[in-house]
This record gives sequence, structure tokens and C-alpha cells, in this order.
Amino acid sequence: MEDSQPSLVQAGNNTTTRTTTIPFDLIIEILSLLPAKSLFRFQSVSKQWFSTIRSKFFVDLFQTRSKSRPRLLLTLYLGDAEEQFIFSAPEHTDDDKSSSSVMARYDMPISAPGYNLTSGSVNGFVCFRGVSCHTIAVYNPTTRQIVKLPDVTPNGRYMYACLGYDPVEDQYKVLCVMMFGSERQDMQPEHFVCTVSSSQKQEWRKIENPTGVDYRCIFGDKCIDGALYYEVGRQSRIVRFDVRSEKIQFIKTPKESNMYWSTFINYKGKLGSVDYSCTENLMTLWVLEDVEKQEWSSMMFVLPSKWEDLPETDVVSKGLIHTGELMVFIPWLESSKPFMFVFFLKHNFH
Amino acid sequence: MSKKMIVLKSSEGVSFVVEEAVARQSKIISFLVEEFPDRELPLTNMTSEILRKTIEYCKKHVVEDDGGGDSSSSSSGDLKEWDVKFVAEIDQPRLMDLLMAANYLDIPSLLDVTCQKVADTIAACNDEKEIRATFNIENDFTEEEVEAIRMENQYPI
Repeated sequence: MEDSQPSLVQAGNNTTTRTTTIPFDLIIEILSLLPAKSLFRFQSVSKQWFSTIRSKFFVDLFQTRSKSRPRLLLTLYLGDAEEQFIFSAPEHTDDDKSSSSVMARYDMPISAPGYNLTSGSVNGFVCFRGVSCHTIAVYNPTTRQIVKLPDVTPNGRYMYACLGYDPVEDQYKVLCVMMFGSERQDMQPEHFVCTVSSSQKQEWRKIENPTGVDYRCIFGDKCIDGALYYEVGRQSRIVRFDVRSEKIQFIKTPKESNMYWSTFINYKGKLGSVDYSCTENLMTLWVLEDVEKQEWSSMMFVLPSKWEDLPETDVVSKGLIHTGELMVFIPWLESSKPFMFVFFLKHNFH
Repeated sequence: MSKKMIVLKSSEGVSFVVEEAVARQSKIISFLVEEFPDRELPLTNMTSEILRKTIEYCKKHVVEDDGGGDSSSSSSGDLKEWDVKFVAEIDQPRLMDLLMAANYLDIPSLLDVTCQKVADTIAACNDEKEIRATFNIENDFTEEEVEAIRMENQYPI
């Protein structure tokens, strides 16, 4: 019979003496080498595989390994279909030529259940907000898993949701801000927080805004080192939300900067702001060097050509890649042109 | 000067005479050679076939140091290619035996190569049934439990 065939089950599970049993640590090692999509599909192989793949230990191990093979996660607006899509592509390496093309992997449309992408990715997760309903959800584009948060009640207010991660407690939280439009001058924005969890009850907690500062719109957000940052309109101010302590703080932006037309990125663990209001072929990156003292520094990045020579002047940056180059891309896609432009800009030291 | 040789004995009692540098890629053998010099090392849970394969791998991967600075016998690119071919030629049951041998003898690079090959084999399977059949895994889920997992993983529309 087949009893001499080696088996990929935990030692001790099998009573047949001649079966080679693979030690559990080797099973973990082998499973950690699989692509996330395979793991997700093959959870139902056996109870041991299921509990291993779902375990916190394994997920953490997998994430650590996967961070050593970074991928770019991009959302694109497809003009003719009026839909947003999530793509991912491998990061280029130092020895690549100055220009190259890579095949991006199409991960998912994000318009499916009437959701809008509200923020950038945090450890590969993204946060969505329902367009017509008041549902906020956290997605994993790789496994297509979704965690829905309880509905919120905006009562006619604008609603904004962003995902944050606290590395100390190892917790994901969503911050939801509800704001009145300009016609209601007397009303301050309200802030709610919900801890993302698959095992515990999720609920929205209202948090106080002791600064008393009013704002009516939010642009972009970025989670860096346990803090969420977002811009609050033309106010030369940035909100910093500490994910762990759930405290809100305002940060002044440098006078010379144009934060209204910029994107937040993670610059080596600090908040960076890519300023698009540049001239010629230079782009300014502002870096928040000290949160407490609110001190900023700046540096320039060089575009490969002048702004007017680009196929579109509307570029977006999503941050630095592991080589230290600043990535910018043109976020528009037409079905007749199945490619996109991504530039990697080197730091100008002159 | 002649190279120092050691003798490894398989479960069938077949002796393999191997250069010490080749055998020392196994951390276990390296330890045993120091503890018990000039003795045959019995590897009672390794068949001659698997031991031969393991030695073949170690011979290819030995870093030759003839006093003239270290020079690897092959470039790292060639070696990777050789590794891929090496595991590709092994059938499934023997691959598992080789994986166990790499684990038992503590040869990290061989363990990496065999683990990767097993992972590739799993990834190439079409469904969980094929994995169970290939690796002789018992399905301890009920139909209802499998269905529940499938429902949970469905893309919400």
C-alpha cells in the first residue's frame, strides 16, 4: 500500500510506523514560502493547515518575509469605465536600467460593492467607504478578504475614514471624521475610532478634540510609525492622530510649502510631503524632522523631463521605494493604452 | 597533501567515503567528526539512495580552499541553476526523504532548496484535493466545515 509514502502532516498524528512525518516547524517553513493567494485557497486542506495559516504567529512570519519582497500597490482610475482598480507590481532594483517595463498584477476592481478607496495602504491593507451606504470596510487586496465595520450615522455630514496601525499594540484602527459643510459654521468635526478585529465586537468610540480647531475637509492620509497624518484644507495645518493613545494634535506646515497640492509619504519613518507646485523639472519633498518641535527640512528630486514634456502633468507620488528613489506615476489609464508611466526620481544633491 | 576522508554508513550498511570538507556542510557531521575522529559515522535513518543524493549535493556546494584563497567551485548563478535541476529530477517521495535528510543532518542550503521545491509543488496544485493526494494528507474536515470556509472567503458582492 501507500504507507511508505511521506506525509505532510504533523508528527505523531499518524499511527503508521513506516510513514515519514514532516516536523511541524518544517511545515511552517514550507507554507511560509507559498504565495498569499495559494495559502488563502488551500486553508481547507486539513485542520492543521487551517489553524497554522490562520495563526497570528504564521501571519506575522509571512508578513516579515513578504516585506523583503516589496511590491508597489497602485490604484488607478480607468476613465472610460469610471472605475477604480488596484494593481500591484514588483519594485525595480538598483541594477535595472533607467527605463524598463514590468508587468503589473491586476488585483481587484474596487468599485464593486459601491465602495470608494479612502486612503493609502497600510501593511497591504486598504480602507473603503461605501458611496451610497454608510459602511466602512477594510480590505486585503491579495486575499480579497474584507472586514466590515459597524455602520456610522453621518446625518448629512461629510464622512472620511482612514486606516491606521499601532505597531506597539499590534492593532489596526479606523479613524472616521464627520464634518459639516461650510454652511454650518458653528459645528466642529466629530472624530470616531473603531478597532479592527475579527474576534472581538467592533464599535465606534467618539474621541475628543481638545484643540478645538475646526476644519471642513480632509486630504490624503498616511500612517507612519503609529500615527495617522492628514491635511485639513487650506489651513497650513496637518492633523496628527496617535493610533495608540487616540489623541489628536495639530502640526504647522512650513510657510514656503504648498500642502494643498501635495501628497504625504513615508520618508524613512518620518512624515514626508511631496510638493507638486514645482517649476521646471524639480519636485520638493518636505520632511517633518521633529514632531514635538514641529521642525521641517526640504530636499529636491529631479524629474526625467520638464513638466510640460510629460504625457500628463497630473502626477501622484506614493512614496520612496527601497532604493531611496521617489516614485511618481500618472494615475490615469485608458483601455486603449494598457500601460502606465511610473518614474523613479533620484535625490538631487546639488 | 592528501585530503582527510571520513566514512558515512547508510541504513543498509553501505559505506560512503567522503572528503571531510564535503561532509562538514552538515552541522551534525561537523560536530560528530570533532567528537569521534577516525570513526565510521552510522546514519541509520538514511537509505543509501538518499545519502548518495545528499553527498552529491554537498560535493557540488563545497567551497574549496586550497590555501590559495577561497574559490567556490561554481559561480552562484550556475549553482542556483544546478540546484533547480537537482531537485527537479527527484520524484515526490524521494524529495520528502531528501528534505528530512537535510533537516536531520542540518544542511541549511539543501533544506532551503528542498522546502522551496515542496512549496512550488503545492502552489502548482489545482485544489486542496490534489494537495491531499500528492502529500498523503488526511482530510479531517466535514463537508459542512469546508463549505463554511469557502463561504467566509467569498468576495462580497
